[in-house]
Amino acid sequence: MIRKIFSLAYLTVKKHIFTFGFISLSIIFFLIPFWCSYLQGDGTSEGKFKVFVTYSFLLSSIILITVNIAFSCVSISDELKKKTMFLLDSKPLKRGQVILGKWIGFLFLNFLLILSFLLSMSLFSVFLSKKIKSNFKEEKNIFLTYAQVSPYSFISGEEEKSKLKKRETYAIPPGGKITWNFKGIKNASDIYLTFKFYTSKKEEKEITGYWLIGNPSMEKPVEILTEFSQNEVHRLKIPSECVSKKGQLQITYINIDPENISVLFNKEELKIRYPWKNYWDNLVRSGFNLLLVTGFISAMGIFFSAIVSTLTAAISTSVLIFISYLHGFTELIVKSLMGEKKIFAYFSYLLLKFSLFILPPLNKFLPHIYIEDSLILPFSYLKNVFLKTTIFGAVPILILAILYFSKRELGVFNE
Amino acid sequence: MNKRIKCLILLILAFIFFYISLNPLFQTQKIRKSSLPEEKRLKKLPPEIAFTTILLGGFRGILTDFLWMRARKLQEEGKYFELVQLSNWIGLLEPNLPQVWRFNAWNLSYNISVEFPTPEERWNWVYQGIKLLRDKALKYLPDSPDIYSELAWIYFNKISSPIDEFSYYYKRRWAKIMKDAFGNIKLDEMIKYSSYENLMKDKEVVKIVNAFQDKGLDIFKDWEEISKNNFSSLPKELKVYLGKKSFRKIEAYIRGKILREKFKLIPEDMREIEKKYLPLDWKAASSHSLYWIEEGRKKTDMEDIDYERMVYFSLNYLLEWGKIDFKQFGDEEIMIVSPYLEIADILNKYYEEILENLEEGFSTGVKSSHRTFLRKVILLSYTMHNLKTANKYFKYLKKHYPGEVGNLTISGYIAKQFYTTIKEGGQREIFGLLYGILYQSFWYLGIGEEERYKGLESLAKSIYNHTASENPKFKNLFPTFSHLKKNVLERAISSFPPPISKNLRRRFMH
Repeated sequence: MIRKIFSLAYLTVKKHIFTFGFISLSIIFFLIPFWCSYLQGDGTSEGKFKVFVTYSFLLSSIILITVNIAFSCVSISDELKKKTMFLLDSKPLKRGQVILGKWIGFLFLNFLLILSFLLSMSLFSVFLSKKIKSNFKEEKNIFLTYAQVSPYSFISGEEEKSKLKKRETYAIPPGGKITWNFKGIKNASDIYLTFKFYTSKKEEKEITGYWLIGNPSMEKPVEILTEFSQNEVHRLKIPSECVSKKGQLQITYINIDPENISVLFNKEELKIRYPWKNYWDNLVRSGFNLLLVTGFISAMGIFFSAIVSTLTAAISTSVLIFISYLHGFTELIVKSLMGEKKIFAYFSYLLLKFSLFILPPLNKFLPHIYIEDSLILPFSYLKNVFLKTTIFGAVPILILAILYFSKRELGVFNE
Repeated sequence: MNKRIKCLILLILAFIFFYISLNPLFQTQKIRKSSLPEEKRLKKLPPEIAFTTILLGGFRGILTDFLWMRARKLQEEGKYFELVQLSNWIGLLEPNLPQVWRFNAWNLSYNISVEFPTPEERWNWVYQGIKLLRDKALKYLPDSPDIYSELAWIYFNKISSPIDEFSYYYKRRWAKIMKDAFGNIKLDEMIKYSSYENLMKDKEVVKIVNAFQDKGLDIFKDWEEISKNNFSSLPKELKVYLGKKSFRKIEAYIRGKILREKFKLIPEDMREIEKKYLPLDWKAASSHSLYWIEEGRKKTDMEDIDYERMVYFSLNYLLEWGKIDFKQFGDEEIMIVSPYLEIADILNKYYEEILENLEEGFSTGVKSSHRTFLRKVILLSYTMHNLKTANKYFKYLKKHYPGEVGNLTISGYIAKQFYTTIKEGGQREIFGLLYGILYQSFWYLGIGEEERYKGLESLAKSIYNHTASENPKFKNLFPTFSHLKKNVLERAISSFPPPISKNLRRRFMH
């Protein structure tokens, strides 16, 4: 059975790989980093490299998504229209195998395009780094990436709160304190705590804070007194000896500001940041990330192609992918509808909630946001992408397509 | 009525209504023609603009919206590295709207720059805003007065004036850029040797160019590398040419070309401005705000008020910070900013002209500003030890505004400027003021600015004497002037950089 699927995949690849369209695309993917290497950035070496990476990934993901919609939406409906599907149907093949074979074929084509892109990225990254070295005086390792760790638990006052998800800020009253626990820190050198906080005061005010940094195995934590202004992202250097061998870290903040005001730390911005892996690791992970996303899109295209005509399939897939991109916006609408008690609002709420459930947030699932910040794509993130785009995305869609396509009559065109 | 006539009337009516209904369309087209590039103009436009305006068609608007939204979102998130690129693209998509260029340049130079904590980072953004206007906006909108005004404004307001906490650093950076661009070459030389053809007619020049070529260096293309660190990296065989006249001609040609192409400064126009006012120090940012506003006036239909206002501001700042020099002390290069006192005559004339044309009832505000200006000139001249100018303006002030001076002598008048501190300040405030002035005077002495030292020292002495006459307790509370001076000198020697302290020691040991 697997052999049959792979031979069908091979046929799909063979059908497309030597076409003018595919060869042009491979060349375009190769040229994207070349073009982006000429973008100017903000005048610093880091900015230039970031713009190069961001736009290379942004453009390639847009083209990949469009191409996947175009290729996959033609796949079944075109075969039905040209009646070549009868030929396939007359062979000892299950229709489900046809669907899977096509999907794997597209996956391989995507792999080739991504490979072409990554090869070009590697080449132009080296080229650009040399150019940057000769043009900029500042010495910075632009290939270094960083890992981020959020606190896994915190203790505020006496009570331990493990349900972090519900909170958007950590509030510390005057004279109060909070302790954040981190684990899994793999490198203790050049380590920072990044954070942002607010107070009830509107003007730019410097808040006095007292920090105790250590780990459970340390006898006495390191004490640091700081004066930071609100509403800005700050970086606090963590002494390397404060991280235990197991990668544990405990940070306590005591609100000692003389003006007796509460301090609210933004939960999203409070992270430990340390150098980890490098740009090349990130490139490989990003390639895998792109492959997962394109796998989901081609599965959706194949599904619609099995049900409706090429044009309708393309429109439907595009609309759903677009909604998938607007995941954040949809989340906002869902939140605003939560309090409404009207039937229409309730219905919309369920529908939107459902769409949020079935569609992965593609805007968050593309690698450039991570890679532009020199952050390594964590495996936990890739696992999440894999779960939502493949296990809960592509697989159910393909099962639906197989179920429908196995039962349908081949003589009728898709309308 | 005949059926045919009825049809004819209806047809005529239909035409009339059709024409009336078309009228708004004509109006719209008229507005579009005035704001969008015309076809003829479009042909002359650079390819990137032709591409964005013709090929993108209606999608241009959508793309522009997308880029605006992305720029806004990134700025809110504190991600600035893409913003220069986005501002460029937005400008390319809407090249005919000066407001777009102005907004983006202002955003880069003002809003984004202040988000950064260090002066180096801030300068990068301030200069990005300047570059956006100078290199891009003026390329596409060479006849827009707004672009010139904005460019002049950034030079004046962001670099010259002390509005930004790091404005001194910006002044230094810009002065350094201009110092490197000019080298030792004068404007006249750049103008004289501006033609490549004429330059290459000189056999000596050709000989030097060939000698560089034999060593694998193209003197015109590799100038940056050749001139690095004052030509220190040049091979010995080539260093012999450095002192030659023909080499200076080549240098003048290249530096002029750099000014024209990189900084968009036309030496001929710079010379014209110098003829109109006074020879300017182009290291001072105010000289550039004056240059760009004069260029705007010359090349566009700029409004009088915008032009005059910027000229006034620029001259005012030139008066205070119009001369910049760099002095090397060991490894440290110190920037010395001095007033350009000769500008005072131009500004004074400017005031006189305004006051002459104003009715009595409307002149109160201008008179008050004139008084402030005269006060500033006297004080600056006095601290520069330029007593001739100080006296000249003191007499002028006495003649035109006798109430301001009363029976005071010039030193009494100078001391009066610190009236509040002398009259109401405690011992600590007065001591602080004298200490500050003397400390500064020793700094100038240390870096070799003798006249400045003398000026500041006599200012401190005037304040000291005036305070002693106003406050009888003073003499008992304070050390003598020479004692105070000695104290400050000791402190200055211990805190100044070693080469400067060494100068002071050498001076006072004799």
